[in-house]
Amino acid sequence: MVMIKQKNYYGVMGFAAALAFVVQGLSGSPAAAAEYPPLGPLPKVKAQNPDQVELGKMLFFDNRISGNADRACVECHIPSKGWADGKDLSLGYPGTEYFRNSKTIINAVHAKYFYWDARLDGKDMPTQVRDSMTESHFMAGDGRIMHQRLKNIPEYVAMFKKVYNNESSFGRILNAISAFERTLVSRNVPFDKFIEGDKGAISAQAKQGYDLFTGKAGCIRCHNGPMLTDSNAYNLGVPHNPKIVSEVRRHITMRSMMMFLGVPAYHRLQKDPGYFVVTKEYKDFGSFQTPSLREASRTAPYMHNGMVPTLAAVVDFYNAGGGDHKDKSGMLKPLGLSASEKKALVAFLETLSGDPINIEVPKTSLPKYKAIPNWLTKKN
Amino acid sequence: MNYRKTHLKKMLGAISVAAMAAVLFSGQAMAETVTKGGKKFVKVDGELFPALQALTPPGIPKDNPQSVDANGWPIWEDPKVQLGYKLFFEPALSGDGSVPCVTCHKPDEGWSLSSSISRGYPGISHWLNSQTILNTANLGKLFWDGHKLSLEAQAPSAAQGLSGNGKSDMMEQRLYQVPEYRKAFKAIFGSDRNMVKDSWRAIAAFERAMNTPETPFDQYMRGDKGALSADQVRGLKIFEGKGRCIMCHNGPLLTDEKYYNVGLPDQPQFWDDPIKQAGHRSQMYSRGQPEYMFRKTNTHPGVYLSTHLKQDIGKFRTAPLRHLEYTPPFMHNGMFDDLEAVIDFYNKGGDKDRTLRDYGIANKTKRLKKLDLTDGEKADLLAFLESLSGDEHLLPTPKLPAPAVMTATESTFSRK
Repeated sequence: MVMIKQKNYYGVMGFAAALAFVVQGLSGSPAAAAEYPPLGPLPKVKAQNPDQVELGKMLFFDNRISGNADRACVECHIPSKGWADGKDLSLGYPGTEYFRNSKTIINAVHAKYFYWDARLDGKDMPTQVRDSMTESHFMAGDGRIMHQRLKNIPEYVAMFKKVYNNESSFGRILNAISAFERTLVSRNVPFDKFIEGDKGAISAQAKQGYDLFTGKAGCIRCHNGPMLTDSNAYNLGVPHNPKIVSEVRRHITMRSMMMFLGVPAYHRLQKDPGYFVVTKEYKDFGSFQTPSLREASRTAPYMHNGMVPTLAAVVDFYNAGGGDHKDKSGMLKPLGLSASEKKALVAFLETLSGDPINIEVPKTSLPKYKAIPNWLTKKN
Repeated sequence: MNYRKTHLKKMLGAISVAAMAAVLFSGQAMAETVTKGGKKFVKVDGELFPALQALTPPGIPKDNPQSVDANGWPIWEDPKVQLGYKLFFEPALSGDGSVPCVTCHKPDEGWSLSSSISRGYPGISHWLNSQTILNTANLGKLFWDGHKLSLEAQAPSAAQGLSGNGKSDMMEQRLYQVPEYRKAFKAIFGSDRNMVKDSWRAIAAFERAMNTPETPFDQYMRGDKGALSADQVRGLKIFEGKGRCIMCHNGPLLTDEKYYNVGLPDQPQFWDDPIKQAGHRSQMYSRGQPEYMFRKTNTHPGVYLSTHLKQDIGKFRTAPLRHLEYTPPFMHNGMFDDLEAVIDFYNKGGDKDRTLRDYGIANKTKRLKKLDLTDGEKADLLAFLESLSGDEHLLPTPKLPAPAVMTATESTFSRK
């Protein structure tokens, strides 16, 4: 239900490793972009019920669906920060701090797996919403309490009635937020126009970047398909973010989550196990799911721990053959890109962002709690 | 043993005199003391009730031992008690790190809370009055509806429920980050890998050491006849006789730990406070009632939540009465701000039966009758109730140990 299918995964890994071998020129033939799922425009999304989307939007901005009514989804997925949060490591629930970078939720509807460690199935968005809303490190909400809180907010009562012809429930809350998130997709993306035939949609420099992406730089080996990700997990040797240990709340949060996810010796953990939580194979320790590159220009800093500050730095990182780690993926080798080639790659990456999605529901505009009149005779 | 026998004789003498006086003045039958099977009872309406007694030392559970002195009282310096003392104040044992046990059981509010309805976790409200943790060691039933049977079970229920919203994995790692705690748990429990569960044990041990056995009432019961003033002694007689209090508030804990509907008025805070309404409903929802009941439980249905028996709707466990002076307001819904109001309430035989009103089931206890206490008798009864409190039991806020960065040298992840 949740995990990457292991058989498939190893199959793809083996294939990719073989190709990497080819790319390094040891057998003499250059990498062929055609062997990877082509980059392409985003698939169409099913239209959502607009009333449900409206309800989900309000809930997304409403702090009262968290445990202590002090966190809203929007605090780590901020519209002006590309629906990520602009921090290296994201906020976490009050009393805790998180140990990974917040990912954008734009295009999450197309994700194959959720989270950096790919622990949730992309086809099941309400479960991802549930995870974010209830886990002790995110919003620590209690579905039963949030449901009862909403019943004391007449505007929500009316909206649930309209959308579901029923009262609120935890499941309906999750479905409404999921409906809203499904509408958050990139629009007017220069690269998508280009790939659909509008050759003038991106600059010549970006086109050069595209050729490098699919050729010399080999980015396409992992960043492929319409979402520019193969959804597999790799160890890139991204430098360790020392804050996950030196800031005790982050260390506590990481160990707490790993305890919950069944990582052995969680109490002594110093590094983020990443995809290991899914496979429990030590070779996957420190591997993370390839992220989509759509909207990347708006979601700095980068990598699972926010250790790379800009897109230029990301290109430099790969140009150097990734980081320094004994389990680093064999696909990473120095690329020998020139300064102008690196700039071209960044120019290409910038074409992957669509129009900014500016949606705001200010806290002050959220409907207020109201006491239920005739309390003693009113049905709960 | 000896002083008890002497005491009994004196008590019997006092009671018969009081009984005669009461008969003379009010024409009502008074309680008599009966010894049966070596145990003392007080007879009211022909029924026997365990006589009042001085506080007895707590029973120590075999699976959570703690050291006691020669008389069986827990030793305050026991490291387990001292650890529990700290953990009682430890905010790490809650969801957002802001709600330690002490939040709702404040030392200077009688180790309870001075609001009618206890506060809950931030963003929601509790649905009942907070009770004192003092002298709870020998209670067989915790909470107003008695749904937890030991202190070890009560602590997590509060810390992880609507009061604390604590999640055990997070709390575990928060404690693990504190070197002093790791050391203490290892020394006391033999392990630092089960710290949350062991925390409830340490907190329970701390609570078992939180007793007030030296109240004037307890000294009197142990034979010090001078410990109670004349009006308090008169009040005691009313408690055991005309006041009929002893029918439920009896034995060394001053509670029979049974459940009664006493016909309490509704708490109007639930009528106009949306957060209290939501807190009440979410608790009714999560305690697993059938839906038809949940839909109409706008007042707490009491022990019904545990038994699901209709005749239990609106019944709450008899409250113990020690340290009473410091724990207003009173009753499960905090409806009475002072003891005078409580006495007035029982003097008129309680109020209307709300279970009858809301569910058509008449189950208000028949033990409540109009008492016709005179103002003097009410004052005496009040004086006696105050003798159950003694000095205020205060403790300073302990200094809590701090978390420290855990470096690779003390905790490295080793691969196979």
